[in-house]
Amino acid sequence: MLIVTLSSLRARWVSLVGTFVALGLGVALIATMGLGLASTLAAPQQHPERLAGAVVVVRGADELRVPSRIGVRVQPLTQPQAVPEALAKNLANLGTVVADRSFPVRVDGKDAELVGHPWPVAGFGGNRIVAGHEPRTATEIAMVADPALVGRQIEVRTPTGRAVFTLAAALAPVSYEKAVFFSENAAAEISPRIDNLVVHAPAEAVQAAVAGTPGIQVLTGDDRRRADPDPDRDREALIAMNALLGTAGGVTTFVSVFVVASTFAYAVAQRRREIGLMRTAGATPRQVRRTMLAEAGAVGVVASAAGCALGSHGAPWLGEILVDERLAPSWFTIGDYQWPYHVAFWTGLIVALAGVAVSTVRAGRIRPTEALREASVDTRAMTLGRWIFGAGLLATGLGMLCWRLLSDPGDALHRKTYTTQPMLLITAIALLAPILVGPLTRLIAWLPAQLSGATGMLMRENASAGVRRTAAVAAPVLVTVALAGSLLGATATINAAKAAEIRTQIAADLIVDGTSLDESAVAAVRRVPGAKVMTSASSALYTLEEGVALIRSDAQAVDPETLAAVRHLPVRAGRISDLDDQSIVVNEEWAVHTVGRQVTVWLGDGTERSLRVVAVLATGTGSNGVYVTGHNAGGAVVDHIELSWRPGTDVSAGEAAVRSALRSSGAQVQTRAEWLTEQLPASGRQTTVGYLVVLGIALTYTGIAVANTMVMATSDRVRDLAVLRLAGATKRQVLLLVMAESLTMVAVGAVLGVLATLVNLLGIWGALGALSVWTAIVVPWQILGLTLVACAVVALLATLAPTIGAMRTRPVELAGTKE
Amino acid sequence: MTRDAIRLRRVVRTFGSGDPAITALHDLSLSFAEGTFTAVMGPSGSGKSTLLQCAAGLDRPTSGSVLLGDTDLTTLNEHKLTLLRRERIGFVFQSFNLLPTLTAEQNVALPLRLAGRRQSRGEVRDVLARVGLSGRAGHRPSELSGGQQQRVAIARALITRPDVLFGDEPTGALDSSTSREVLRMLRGMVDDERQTIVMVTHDPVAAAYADRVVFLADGRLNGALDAPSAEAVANRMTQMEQTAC
Repeated sequence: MLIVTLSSLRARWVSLVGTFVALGLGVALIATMGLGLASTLAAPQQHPERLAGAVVVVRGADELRVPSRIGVRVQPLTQPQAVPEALAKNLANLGTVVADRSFPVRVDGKDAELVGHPWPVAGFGGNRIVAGHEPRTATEIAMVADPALVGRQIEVRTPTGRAVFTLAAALAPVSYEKAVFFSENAAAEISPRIDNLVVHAPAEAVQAAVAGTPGIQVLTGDDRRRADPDPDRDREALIAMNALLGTAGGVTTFVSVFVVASTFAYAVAQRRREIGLMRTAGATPRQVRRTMLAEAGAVGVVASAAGCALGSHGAPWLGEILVDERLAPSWFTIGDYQWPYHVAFWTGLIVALAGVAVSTVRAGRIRPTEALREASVDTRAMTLGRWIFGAGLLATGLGMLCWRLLSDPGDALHRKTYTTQPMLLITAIALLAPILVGPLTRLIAWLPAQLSGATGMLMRENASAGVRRTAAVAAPVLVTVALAGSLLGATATINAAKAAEIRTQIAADLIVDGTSLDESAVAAVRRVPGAKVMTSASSALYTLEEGVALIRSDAQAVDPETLAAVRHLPVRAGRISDLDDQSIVVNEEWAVHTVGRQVTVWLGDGTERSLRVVAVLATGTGSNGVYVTGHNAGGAVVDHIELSWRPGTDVSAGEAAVRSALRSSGAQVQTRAEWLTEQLPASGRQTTVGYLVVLGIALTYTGIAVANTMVMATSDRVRDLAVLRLAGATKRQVLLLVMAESLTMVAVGAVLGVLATLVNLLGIWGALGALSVWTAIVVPWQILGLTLVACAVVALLATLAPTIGAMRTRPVELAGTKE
Repeated sequence: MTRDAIRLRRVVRTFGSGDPAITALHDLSLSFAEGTFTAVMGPSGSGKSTLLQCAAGLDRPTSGSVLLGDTDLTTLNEHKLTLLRRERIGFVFQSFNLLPTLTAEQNVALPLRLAGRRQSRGEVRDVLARVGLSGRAGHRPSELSGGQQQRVAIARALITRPDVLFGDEPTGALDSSTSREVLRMLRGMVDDERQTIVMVTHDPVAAAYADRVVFLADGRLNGALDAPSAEAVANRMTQMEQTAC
């Protein structure tokens, strides 16, 4: 009897540690992600840089403000407006004014695009001359350079064309931009528009003077950063981080809750025999439940507290990784927040208690006599709760999938959707797993069981009879495989669809990308014989949908005559060739998408227009933008040219002509094939690395969970294995058997995981199809394979270690020859 | 003259080391003849189970030797011992020690499968029929009564046609009528097939089924009875317990 007590204590110890580890690490993960997320919510105040030395800055409108019935809706303009010339003259009466202009500049020998400004503003931004003197004549410039180069002649390309300048001054570098300074008059000639105006006058006086001009802003203090190259740089960096950590937090919370609940539930199931003995000794079901809950509460409090402590160390570590991987700006640090700890602690505790509570309802029903029977055969592993919740979640998951396909297929392609959709299905499949485990194991072990050896037979019978154990071990494998497959598969499938979409739409033979292609260069390209040229300027259009939402859409201002020659757009209604200066081609994402209707839009510079819809395009993978003519570009300049050759044109001569016309512009000329290849890695580095971080953390945790449940499950089997050895199995046979069994369980989890993955990817594929983008489903087999191998290795190690340990004891002692 | 199926020579078994070491078997020499049914009896703590486990190769003597035919079990390593046990020794426990996930038939076939031998279905059915369980082949242990489970355990022990069948209180967990059935079955195997059986028991009625009863006290041999009756055994036991006091 003593031996039985001791070995049951040993099993209890393992399951105690198992639940502790699962919960502690889960809570630590939630706390870490929570702290990271909290730290992305508040960006430090960004201070003015470029015009920091100016007290009052007048700036043209850079926001679109549209009154609606729920107040004024605001969107930043893609093309901020200039400070009107007349206003500048007016303000000059108040005090000295300095006009600030910005324009793109390309300097020979430098790849990067530089920004040109007039010299008088240089002083406000802390630009310092290292050698030489400020630019005084129209042909002198100042820029960051080697002092030895002062006096050299440099070829510079500005929006007005190419010219030779003399380097008058070498400047010390500044952190916020790479600029070239021109003399005041030269700059005014190159870029007549005044972007900002520094006024040396009291702010109140300036305020009063601009009152009559709508949209004009008077910037003082920290607001002056609006004149900086990237006024919202830090905030934008955090928005991407916030999205990333939000997804990561969602995924890890789900995984933690899932693992903790299933571990605690399994720990109770493991104690069936002990519960039976308690009942024999006279414990009422209520007492059993209370004991179990009290124990779970104690473990829960201690483990959650430990998890929070671990999280407080993990979060700075996560912060460092994000900075090292350049996912976060270098100044990013984890702040001191209380709420993530509360969320993590209470989530952990409540989930642990809930997991135990659900299982103890069942455990309390165990009849005392059942303690005396063997408990290794789960006759009824499917409980009513599993049926209800499993079927409910499955119905919800599949229902939402179908409903989305019918009503809003584009929604399925959003990150929030395709990260949450798998969670429903995974949980549903995990709950329903006991139904599938039996047939699956019999299937997997069918072949080995046909062999004469004992291993195959035992493997099949043990795994399919121990349904609960198999389901418990398979669960973390299922989550690991399904998450890796669904998330990576979804992004890969969507990217493939985007690539396919671009491939079908782009028909041009030659594609030119540049930041600003000046008129002379464009004209030269148009003159190339045999070329059908379409120019395009990227801008944006704003519409007020449903009278409340000010929506920004990417817009391309194109040549309507040649658009059809270079692009095969998925037209649903109307004719693209009808596009003129009073009309627009919209897509089905727009609230108004009926040919012939008038739609009110604001251009990239805030000008209001009423345009007629002449054609409607299919939504495709979404965010594909709308088309207008150059008349509605809102001041955006041509930055992209597509051309195709008329039949019979000498293509190589034509291509050479285009290249030579654009040689000095710094624009990139590519053939269709080259351009498409460059577009292929459609998902940015940040998304890829971000997913690896998200998945890496979640998968490491599920890996630990696999090991954890495996150790718990094996400790459960010590007696069985001893009996097997008494029946004549050698140690090697026992080891082979447990290895084969764990691989079977991993295989079951993998099959279920792949099942969940396929359902999810089918949903995405269906949604793409509904958006008329037919593409192949991309299943990330390689990652799935790696994940599986990792799971299998972890599972094997986690089985072998306790088995070898248990086999040191003589089987007679473990089997308990006498009760 | 019959040969000895198993012979223990000067077997000592101590548990623990140092001063409080407990000696379960004191220099014990004993042999069991082929084709006989022997019962081992003695008060609690007399070393009956240790004797049986040492004889069956489940435990190793601290010193002395155990001969199964011509093989000295004490010289074999764990692996070889397991193989020998699988081939030549059958063991039945008080707790039946069946694998709960396997059916009766699978449990019986287990030793053959472990040995990698291709067993015929008929062979397994035959053994099950011998223990009177023809109709229960497909049932799991939890679906069988105690007596039926013990008969499956006996069938499993017999499937390899072992030289010796050991039983450690095989009827200890059974009621008297079920245990009578099991004992009658064991007796039949000795009479009909010259099976050697060694059984530890504390029940004089069970011991009366044996050809011979050996008595153990404090790890030493304390006499024997041939062709015992239940009364004689009971008297002897009472006598031993009084001496002990």
